[in-house]
Amino acid sequence: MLDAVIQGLSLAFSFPALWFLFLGIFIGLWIGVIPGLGGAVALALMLPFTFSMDMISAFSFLLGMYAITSTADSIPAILFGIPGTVASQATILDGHPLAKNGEASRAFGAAYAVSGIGGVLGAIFLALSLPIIQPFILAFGVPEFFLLSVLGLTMVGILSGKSLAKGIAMACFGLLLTTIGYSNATGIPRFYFGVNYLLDGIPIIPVMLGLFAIPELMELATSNTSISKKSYEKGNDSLLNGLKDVVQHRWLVFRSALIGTYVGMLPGLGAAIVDWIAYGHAVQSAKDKTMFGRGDIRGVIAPECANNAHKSGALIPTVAFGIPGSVGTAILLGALIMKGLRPGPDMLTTQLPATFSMIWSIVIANVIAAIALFFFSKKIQKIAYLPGHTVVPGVMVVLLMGAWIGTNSMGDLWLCLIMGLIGYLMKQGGWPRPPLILAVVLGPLMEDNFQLTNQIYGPYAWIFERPVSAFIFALIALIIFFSLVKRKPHAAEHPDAGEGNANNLAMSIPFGLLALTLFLVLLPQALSYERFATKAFPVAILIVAIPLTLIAFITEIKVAIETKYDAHNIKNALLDAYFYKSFTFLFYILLTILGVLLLGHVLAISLFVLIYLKVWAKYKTQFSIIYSVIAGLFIYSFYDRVMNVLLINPFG
Amino acid sequence: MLKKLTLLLTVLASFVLASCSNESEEYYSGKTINIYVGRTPGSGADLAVRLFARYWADYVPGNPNIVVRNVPGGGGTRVWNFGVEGAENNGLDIMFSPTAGIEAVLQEPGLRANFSEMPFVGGLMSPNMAYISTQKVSQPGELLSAEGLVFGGQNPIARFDLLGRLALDSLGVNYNYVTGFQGASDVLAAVRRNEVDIQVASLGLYRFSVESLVEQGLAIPLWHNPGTDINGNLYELEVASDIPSFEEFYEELYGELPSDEFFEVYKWVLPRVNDIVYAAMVPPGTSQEHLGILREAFVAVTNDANYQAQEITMYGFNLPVINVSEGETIMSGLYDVPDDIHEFLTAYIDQVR
Repeated sequence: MLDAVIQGLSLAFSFPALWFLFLGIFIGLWIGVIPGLGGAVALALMLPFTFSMDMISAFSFLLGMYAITSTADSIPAILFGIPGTVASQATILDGHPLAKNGEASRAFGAAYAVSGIGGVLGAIFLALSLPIIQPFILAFGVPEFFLLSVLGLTMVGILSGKSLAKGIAMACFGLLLTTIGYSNATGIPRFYFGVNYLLDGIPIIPVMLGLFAIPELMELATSNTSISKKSYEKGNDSLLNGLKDVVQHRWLVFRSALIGTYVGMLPGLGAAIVDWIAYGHAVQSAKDKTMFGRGDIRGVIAPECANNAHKSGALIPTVAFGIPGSVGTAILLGALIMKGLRPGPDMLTTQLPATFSMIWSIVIANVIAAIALFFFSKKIQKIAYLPGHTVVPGVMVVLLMGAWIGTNSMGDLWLCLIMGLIGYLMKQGGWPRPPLILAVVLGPLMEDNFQLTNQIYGPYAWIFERPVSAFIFALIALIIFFSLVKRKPHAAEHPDAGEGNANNLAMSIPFGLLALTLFLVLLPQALSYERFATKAFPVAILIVAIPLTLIAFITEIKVAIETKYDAHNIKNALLDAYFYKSFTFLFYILLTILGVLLLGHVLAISLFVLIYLKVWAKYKTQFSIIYSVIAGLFIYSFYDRVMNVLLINPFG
Repeated sequence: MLKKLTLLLTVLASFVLASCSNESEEYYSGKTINIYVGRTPGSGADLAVRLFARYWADYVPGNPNIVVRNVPGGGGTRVWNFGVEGAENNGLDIMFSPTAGIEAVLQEPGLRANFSEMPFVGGLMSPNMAYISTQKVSQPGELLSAEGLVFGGQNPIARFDLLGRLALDSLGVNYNYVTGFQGASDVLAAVRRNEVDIQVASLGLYRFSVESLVEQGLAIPLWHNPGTDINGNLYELEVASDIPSFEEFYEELYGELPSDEFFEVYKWVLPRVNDIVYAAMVPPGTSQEHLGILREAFVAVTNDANYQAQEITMYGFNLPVINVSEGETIMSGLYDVPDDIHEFLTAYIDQVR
């Protein structure tokens, strides 16, 4: 095997492959930074350019891009609370609070270092695991995938803040969102209410952007503070601090890389889940959990390390079995075939040098990307200290375009806006958002694998008949047991800590009522589906959601009665939440979306930038015009010309 | 005199043709043709269309720029709705995507485009086949007596699921239909894990991912879904000649050709959902001149040696081409559904929904 490792290395370092690797890294860095694009879109667009390249160059180019989007995506996640790709969702939970605390550089330092280390460790684990890869992968069938998604969902307990009822209710809300559209098991559309957009289900990117990014932007727009709530002081926040954190938490890095690599090997689980599993592990294994959700560096280290290690793991089922686990690896598989390589066991035997050259390309890409980003970080972190009004329009451009890219549909923009409103109410009202997004990620995996398990193995006997299932099931039972027995609402000791601990009753009670009404309205609809396979999942979710939402709602009402919450309190609470200004900001977004429909993307979003800067922020006309023209040019040149995204253009 | 007149007419005709050609050259020169594909970037259809698009511009006079844009959604129907509601009929917008044949036949919710009203540019067939793992069956003949076979699919109205069920029912195989896998590679993964026994897969997937299982004795090819000629007769596909067609497979097992109702429906469904997998169509109202140019260019690409070589590298064979008259016949056939077929299909699909 050592021969294959060395041959692979020499292939990866051969020319012109190395140049193409650098080019891929360069493009990947940009792609990762821009929310919504993700590695798969870039790979698909760049694939035709590889037609004329030799095999090793083509792979170096594509792998350079593929490997490091999950390094660069930590930049928007940490700075703006916007995950650059689905792989950095968990990073925002602690990464963004760190930026708010004036520690963006520390978070960047840790994120880049562990991304590089994660990529390298992932490749090492992969190389060491080659002999056991086949039995390992084949031991995980649909029952195990179902149980792994349930295991992932048990993290709701640690993501719920002070109210478990609220956390589980929001997880149910997230799961319910995933039941919209065609049921995979039966092909019957659910909860689509005649809206064609909903037939394919809810895309995750607009949900994620709306839920997390819009409330952050509302806060910046209404308060005009910088992202960092602390002023910039040289030496106080540095990349070196992040590196020290990595050394201090080296075993967490090691374990997260293990999680990333082995979850990555399981086709179908994907990058979206690996960062949550690693985050959950970081919280569960920590002795002091009080800082999670409000800027714990371990909450950045674990997901960022795992999502890079995952890329190496995901390569194996693709090349060894021809089974890609994600869109990104599907494109790589296409490229592999186009270049005359045949996926199969040969890739782990006679073609092992070629497989190792791919692994080496991933290693080199991760290391170079981490080093490159270290150099740029000083400039990037300064964004955290800019006035909110300067940052908001630029971020809104990438947010609206990021939401649009998923399916190029107006529905994406409306969904993003609605989720923005929901995210704002949840954030203010102390209804935790992470369980919702976690459930949106896990919902399809859970339902599909549950339905398949039921069809293939029957109702429940498989739990005890399959050793891996029995092990995961026991693990789930233990986690739930200890969560219930040992649950210490740490956040209650720190009233302003983390997600889901806000206590604005003027927001919380109406949101609870809204959620309860929604669940009650949907229940008869869910029950009306004829087939068991169509209704089982939504009905089960609603049966859990309704009583828990009711409990949370009644608890809030009790608090309101006990504290004699009156009109004066409501008025103050609304002022605290910048309620009127926040809704005006949402109205701006609503007008922009209508503008997209009437005037097209370029004009409408440029107009938003202009009006926001001139009217809302009261900036000088010249600055506002220049900013809006740059925004328009960026949308046209980058999204339309370079990325070939379908844009609305009513003027032909 | 006649000779002079003929000469004059020939010169005039050449002049007119040349000016037409110049006009079209002028029309497309410096312009961008948008090809819309109804799948996400990186999907099989997306890659097939991007490969084709790379060569298409070379054969359109004026050498326009061609960009591929993704319009996924509605189970693949949204791109076709866009074709009749949002795309321009100026010869610069082409929908090139997997067709939604079953959705049209069953009038599923969401599909508003009428394929028979959209001018057809060209089509490609993506041959497909069925295989079985050797876990429960060591040779095709055992298929009929095997117990507990699992046929895996994606959803009850997916063409592979429907064709697979019809074929298995026609053969009288005792099987359990399991559906809900996200994609063909997920079904393949389930076959590798011995959770699924039978899969209907594209010939490309077979060539590159399943054939190695066959070589290791882990799988056996069963049949390929044949093509259908203009008279409705089935014919063996040359690119899959190493695998028997369904009729041949049936005949091998039973010594006679199939004639049951499942087979009759299979035969009716086959050309409508399986013959054209990737159809290129333009919005209604597109001028005949632009249509003619695009059609010619489409055919030219399929004859391009470099494109053919790329196809062979990508799929292991050249995708059979569907010409305009075949395409138009197939598309109009989607809306000419006999009541008994419609009833049968609706009930048949509802059984497993």
